[in-house]
Amino acid sequence: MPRKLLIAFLLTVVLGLLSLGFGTWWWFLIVAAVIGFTVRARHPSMLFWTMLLAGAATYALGGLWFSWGDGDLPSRIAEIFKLGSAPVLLLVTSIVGGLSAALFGAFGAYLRVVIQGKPEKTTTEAIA
Amino acid sequence: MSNNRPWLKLIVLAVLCAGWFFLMDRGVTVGGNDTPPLGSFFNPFEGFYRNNSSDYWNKDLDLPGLRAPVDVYYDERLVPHIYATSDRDLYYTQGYIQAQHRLFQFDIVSRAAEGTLSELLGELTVNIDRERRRIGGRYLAEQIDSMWQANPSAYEAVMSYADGVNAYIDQLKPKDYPIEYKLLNAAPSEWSPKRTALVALNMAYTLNFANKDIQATNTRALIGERSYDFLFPPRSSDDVPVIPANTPFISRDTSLINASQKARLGLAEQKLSTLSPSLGLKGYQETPEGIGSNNWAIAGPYTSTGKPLLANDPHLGLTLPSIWFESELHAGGLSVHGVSLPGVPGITIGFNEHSAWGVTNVGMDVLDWYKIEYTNPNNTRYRTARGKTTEVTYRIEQIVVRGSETISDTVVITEFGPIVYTDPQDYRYGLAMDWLTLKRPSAEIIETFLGLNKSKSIRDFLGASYKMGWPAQNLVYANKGGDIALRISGTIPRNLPDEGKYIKEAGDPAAVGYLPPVENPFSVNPRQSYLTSTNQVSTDDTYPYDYRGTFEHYRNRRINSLIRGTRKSDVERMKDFQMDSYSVFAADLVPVLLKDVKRDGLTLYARGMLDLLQEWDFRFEHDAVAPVIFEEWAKELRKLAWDEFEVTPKTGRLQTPEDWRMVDLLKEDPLSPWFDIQKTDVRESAADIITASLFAASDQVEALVNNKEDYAWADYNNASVQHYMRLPAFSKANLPVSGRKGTLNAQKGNVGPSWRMIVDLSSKVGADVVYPGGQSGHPGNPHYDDMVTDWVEGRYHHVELHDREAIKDNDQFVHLTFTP
Repeated sequence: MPRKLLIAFLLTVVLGLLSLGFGTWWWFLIVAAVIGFTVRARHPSMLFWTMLLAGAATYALGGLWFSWGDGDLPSRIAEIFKLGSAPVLLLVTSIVGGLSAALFGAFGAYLRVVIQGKPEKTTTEAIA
Repeated sequence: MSNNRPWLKLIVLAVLCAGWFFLMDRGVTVGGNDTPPLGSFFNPFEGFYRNNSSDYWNKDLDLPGLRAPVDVYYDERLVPHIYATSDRDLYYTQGYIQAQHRLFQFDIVSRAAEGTLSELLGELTVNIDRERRRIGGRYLAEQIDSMWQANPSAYEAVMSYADGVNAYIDQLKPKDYPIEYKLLNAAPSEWSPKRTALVALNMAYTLNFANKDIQATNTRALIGERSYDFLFPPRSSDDVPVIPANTPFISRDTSLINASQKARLGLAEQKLSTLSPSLGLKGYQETPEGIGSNNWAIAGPYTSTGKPLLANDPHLGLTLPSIWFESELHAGGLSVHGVSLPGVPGITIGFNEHSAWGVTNVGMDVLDWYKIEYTNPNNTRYRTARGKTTEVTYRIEQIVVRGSETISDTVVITEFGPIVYTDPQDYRYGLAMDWLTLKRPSAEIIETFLGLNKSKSIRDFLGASYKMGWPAQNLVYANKGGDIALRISGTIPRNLPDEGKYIKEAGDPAAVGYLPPVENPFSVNPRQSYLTSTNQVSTDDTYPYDYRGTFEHYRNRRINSLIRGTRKSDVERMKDFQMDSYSVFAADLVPVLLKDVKRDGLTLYARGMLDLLQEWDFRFEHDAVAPVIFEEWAKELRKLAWDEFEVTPKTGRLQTPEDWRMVDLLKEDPLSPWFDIQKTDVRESAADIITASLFAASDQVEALVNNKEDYAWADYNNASVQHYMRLPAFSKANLPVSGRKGTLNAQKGNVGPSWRMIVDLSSKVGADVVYPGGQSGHPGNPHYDDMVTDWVEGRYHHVELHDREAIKDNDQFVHLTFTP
């Protein structure tokens, strides 16, 4: 994975967890858009998939953190929403987080492209 | 999308992002149900995952509303033991803690009584709200609140409690709201003493199960007065009354209402001949079948310790979270352990260092209906009790309905009470509710129970119980000194014989005031050395006043026989009594069935059923199939015996005779014309319908048993404990519970023993307790339903009062400090 994408992934997870923990749900969208804008990914479509994974990981980590105790609320909520089991609910949660990060991250990245043009290839990328 | 058109991609992404934000901010409709806003709901830190926390309560707090520090110790079941220095701080802390664990329950129960459920739940609950608004719960609660304000001690308790609840609500952030609010995308609202009154009123309304006036009126119109009296006598000769027979009663003025004067007064001929036999009342709700309760106190001569034992298990609708919250409270001279209704301060059922008390419903009929016939074409005038006509008054109720338009309901008020139901076939008629609680609002409910919390002697008990002004309850009491007592506590109307049994009309004879509390029936330290109440008839015929109600006929016989048959009772024996699944009804009926059934021509399956019943011990054990056979046979037998009572649009709702009456008739008059099957040309006898019903039952039983392997009573009875929003995921269903309606462990569907308590009043007062739920109201908490299995299996938890110094050093408790 190119370094920028790796940075985008890690930033999304770390800042995402902080924003979700201390703010409200849409702070995460802003964080994703800002990361997409600042990372200057050469291929915004690659960034989309990276952010998708990062957002999914962020939500999954959060979900797992609160599922760690002795309560069984995720199973009950899964039953209410006819999702079968807690792991399926966690998957749906991850998809929500992933799409949130991917869409807003890609938006940030394309906004950057529109404002500043496509970034030049790095030496490594050029050789590759 | 092309690589060289970033503008286009940006626009497409902007549209997608806006759509995504819109979707996440609002939620979607799935299968007709709205989801909560998905963004916040799926955010693990503010949505449902956060509610999976089990230690939300586990922190020291600064509560500026307190006047002095309060120590709270939680035991392993999450029962708080609260130590305060004043009553004010005690009830403040109790309010805070109960709200912390049960906030949504507070809200939903008070809204149900007020008629504001639809604000939270939408169109689903409009009819419930409409009924409650017509009854006028809100105005009644306001009156009670005003009465509390005039009474400093009661007001201090309810106000401090409300302050504690609000202290919790004020510091709640949306991410910490109970899961139900998140699912509904709603927020909790401020608590007040008025809402405490609403919670109490909701219970008062629940306990009005002697509400059969409409069915009785229609049934009498169908079969006539003589037949009605024959089939529906008020009591069985086998009943053992609550107050032991031959107890001397205090009576000052019986001139008006001696039951023996009925014939002389000619009151049986009430003026109801013009009444429509089929008031098909829109929205009319019947009380759930099976609600009832047991309590008893056994004095030293019948116990192994020589000191009293007291037991109580109120049977109510079983809910998750439980309708009860268990606590131990200490302040000043108060030390008490027990349960209370979330939303109400103090302890409702429990014990202190000296005494214990319990409650069952008396079942007196304190809710009557007047048929109002308008006398003018505009339906604005009606006839009063004095024969004049007068104008109705109106109250406009605005029912706010979430997600829909606000509904205006015009409530018509008459001198008899508000018109709650109208005849949908003919709007010239309505039914006005004449309910004791509406006519005579009483605020003493708090004082009664706070008085019981501090009671040390019979004198204290009677003093507290005299204050009770609500529909009557059987208050049982015992103390360490060896005394036992039971008093019919509450307001008893001075009824005329049979008055209020049927729907009344203007001008009908009506109750003349209320009995002074000193004349309520009671018994203290009776010669028989025990006292029991199971919602059976309160007194024998020597009680000088006439009263009516809906009384049970089997549990009273069972508990009295069990206590009499046990030389030295102890706590373990009391547990057996509370868990007892023996059916006196089955024991009465099965021998008759087996004796009279015609065995010729029976199928092999039916013969097998008879063999099983022959060997049955009349216990409704959860894993037995004989109770299913009996229940199906009894059901089919009732259908044939009472086929005259088939409900049609013309008859309206009808009553059928009680089971004990059917058994008596089968035994005493097997050729009774009531056993004739209407549809056939021949004249059937008891033996004929017993045999025919066995054929029908065997088909039913075979179908049930073939449907599921190991089909047994638990499958048939389907015992459950249901969440307030009826969400299966938050409820417990198909519980393997033994017992049925009419057994001491009375269980039917989601109605059953809501709290089991056995108090041993020997050297150190202690109790064994359990209820079908858990202390936490949060479905994500392990204490949400952790006692359900214990309750099903008859396992109890031993509790004692803890001295403040002793509990400090006990590492089995989690200690929290709340500081001002």
